[in-house]
Parts: sequence; C-alpha cells; structure tokens
Amino acid sequence: MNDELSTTESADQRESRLARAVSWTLTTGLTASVALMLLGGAFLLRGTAAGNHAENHPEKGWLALPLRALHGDGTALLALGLVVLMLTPAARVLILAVGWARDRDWTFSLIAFCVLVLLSLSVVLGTG
Amino acid sequence: MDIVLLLVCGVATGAAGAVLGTGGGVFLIPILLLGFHVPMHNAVGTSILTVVATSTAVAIGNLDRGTANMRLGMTLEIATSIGALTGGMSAALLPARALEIVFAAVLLPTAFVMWRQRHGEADAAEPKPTGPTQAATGAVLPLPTEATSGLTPPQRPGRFTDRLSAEYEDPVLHRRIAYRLHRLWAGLSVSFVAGVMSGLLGIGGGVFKVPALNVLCGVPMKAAAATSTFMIGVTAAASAFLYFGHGQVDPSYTSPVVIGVVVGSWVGAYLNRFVGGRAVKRVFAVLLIGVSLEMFGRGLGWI
Repeated sequence: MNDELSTTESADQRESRLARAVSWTLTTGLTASVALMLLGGAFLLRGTAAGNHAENHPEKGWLALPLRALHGDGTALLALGLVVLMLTPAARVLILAVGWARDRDWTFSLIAFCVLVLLSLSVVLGTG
Repeated sequence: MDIVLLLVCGVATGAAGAVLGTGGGVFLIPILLLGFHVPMHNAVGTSILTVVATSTAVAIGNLDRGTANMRLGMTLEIATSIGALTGGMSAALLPARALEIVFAAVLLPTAFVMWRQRHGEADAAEPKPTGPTQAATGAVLPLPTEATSGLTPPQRPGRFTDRLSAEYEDPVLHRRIAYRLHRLWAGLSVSFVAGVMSGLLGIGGGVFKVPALNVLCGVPMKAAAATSTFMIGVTAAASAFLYFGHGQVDPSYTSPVVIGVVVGSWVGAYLNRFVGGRAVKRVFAVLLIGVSLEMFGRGLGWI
C-alpha cells in the first residue's frame, strides 16, 4: 500500500514537473516573441531598418532572418518574433516527448514525436 | 496600414474572444477583410498567428492549475495536426471567394453556440457527482461522465483510453474531479475536422472540440476547454508554418495585431467578471450572423 502510494506520488510529481517545464517553455517563448516584435516595431518607428539594412542583407528565407535581425532590420525582427511564436508550441511538444521518454513512457513519447514530425512536415511544405 | 489602429483592433478582438469564449478569429478575419481590405488568405494567415499567441497565453494558466490533460491533448494533436495540414494545403488551392463562403458558413454555428451559451459556462460547469468509486473501477459512467473521487484516481493503466483518463483539482468546488475517457475515435474524428477548419479558416476550432470532448468523450467541461486550448497552439502552428512559408503572413501588420490580441485576451479575462452576460453574447451572436451574411454575399459576388 505504501509502495503504491509512493509510486503514485512520484508519478504525480513527475507529471507536475513536466507541466511546469511546459509552462516555462510557453512563457519564455511567448515573452521572447513579443519582445522581438516590440523591438522590431521600435526599430521601424525610428526609421533605421528595412530599406538600408535590407540592401545590405538581401538574403531571403527563414534562415536569413536572425542575421538580418542582428543588423537591426526591423521587419526581420518582426518576422523573427512570429517565427519564435510558431516554434513555441513545437518546443513544448519536444519537451513532452523528451520528458515522457525519460520517464520511460514510450507510448506517449512516440505520440509526441509523431506530432513533431507533422510539424516538421509543415515547415518543409511551407518552405518548399 | 495604421499600426495603432491594428493594435486597437487586436485588443478589441482579443478581449471580445475572451469574454465570449469563442476566440478572436471569428471577429478578426472579417475586420481585416472588410475593414482593412486585407486579402482573405492573408487575413487567415494573420488570424492563425493570433490563435497561436492566445492559445499559448491561456494554456500557461491552465497548466499551472492542472486542468489541461496533456496526454489526451497530445494524442488528439495527431488528428488536429493532420487536419491542419490538410486544411492549410487546401486553402492554398481554393480561391478567396470560396474561403469566404466556407468562413461565412462556419460563423453560423458559432453564432448559435454563442446564443445558447450561458455566462461563464465553460469555467463554472458544475460536475454531477456519480460516486467516488466508479472512475476507479472502470464502470461506464453516464454522459457527460464526471466522477468526484479524491480517493483513487483512475491511474491503473489497462487499455490505452484508461491512460488518457485524468483528474484535476477544482478550486471552486474544493475537491478533485476524476474522469474516464470514452469514445477516443469520436474525439480523434472531431479533432481532425477541427484541425481542417483551423488550417482552412485561421480559427482555433474550439467551438467544435470542446462540446465533442464533453458530450462524446465524457471529459468535464472545464478540462475539455483547457485541453482544447492546450491543443490549439500546436494545431495552429501546423498551418501557420504553411501560411508563413507561402508569404501569406505579413509581419508589418500581423505583429501589431498579435500583440494586441494577447493584451486583449488578458483584458477580456479581467472584463469577464463584469460583462459577458447572456444579453451581450446574444448581441454578438446577431452581429456574427450579419457578418456571415455579408461574407456570403461577397463570396457569391452579390456585394
């Protein structure tokens, strides 16, 4: 009985820890995303971005966004904020996949990895 | 476009969505389309990003309270993600007018749900106790199945659906609510449809999922709403990548709207204590019917 209770308690604690990790991931992702968008907006309002920096960094595509953002391209910062926002739910799926794998809960870990594959497919189809 | 005006629209739609419990997409898309003359596909792309943001913001609170069922949510996310990919790819093939007609059609059941909804219905659903031992013994509970226990949660894994059963602490009732999942196939089917609608129209799809989880799968209303919100972020992200990749998300006007909607959802959660009675919901329901008719007219080329 005591063993059962302690097993239940540790399972509950593991679940709570996982929920806290997911909550932290979502909070961080959302905060970072909004911060990047506010920064981008500030750059655009100051008139330092888009035109000049886009000429210096004409690279297109998602991978060029961080580079353009680092050079003060306001539009790139806005776009990067949106990309971070889109990646936030994917990050929480990854956290759960790894967390359940660590708890040897292979069934749900596999399910989470399947969802990650579907999200990756969406990125590939979007960029293709 | 005027950034301040977009920000204000974002706040207004976010607040309205939180007060009315429908999400902001049903208001945002018509505003962008009819008010700002944004092309339909771009309006959907913008809306889907706001759905990711609000779902993320609300899910944080639900996780902290323990009402969201992460295992159930993840399982259903397979269906919603496949649906969102299907919807997102279909949207790319459909002309704007066809999308407008489908959107107008979806507004009607949304307005109906809004008309019927009581104030705070999703938050204050009162469980109907069916005995503390039923959930643990695996007896089939009447629908909607809600069992109060506080003694033994349904944690003896047998069938897969048993592992999707869960419990949560209800702060209003001051007791733990345990429930068993039924008809997983129904949850998966409705989730797929909700995913298609989300990918196609840039809405969250909670209007389909929450009633289905409650009535068909036996999940208490509060857990159903929290789990649905938990899922919506991933569902919306699945199609958001498609819209973003196809250049249908313009950061210059999407960003202020997203920030506005996040702020608006917090404002709406606060306002929800004071407004959101039946009369307000019915006014907005009538408004949605009007918008639906206008979009039908546009889609059919009458306007």
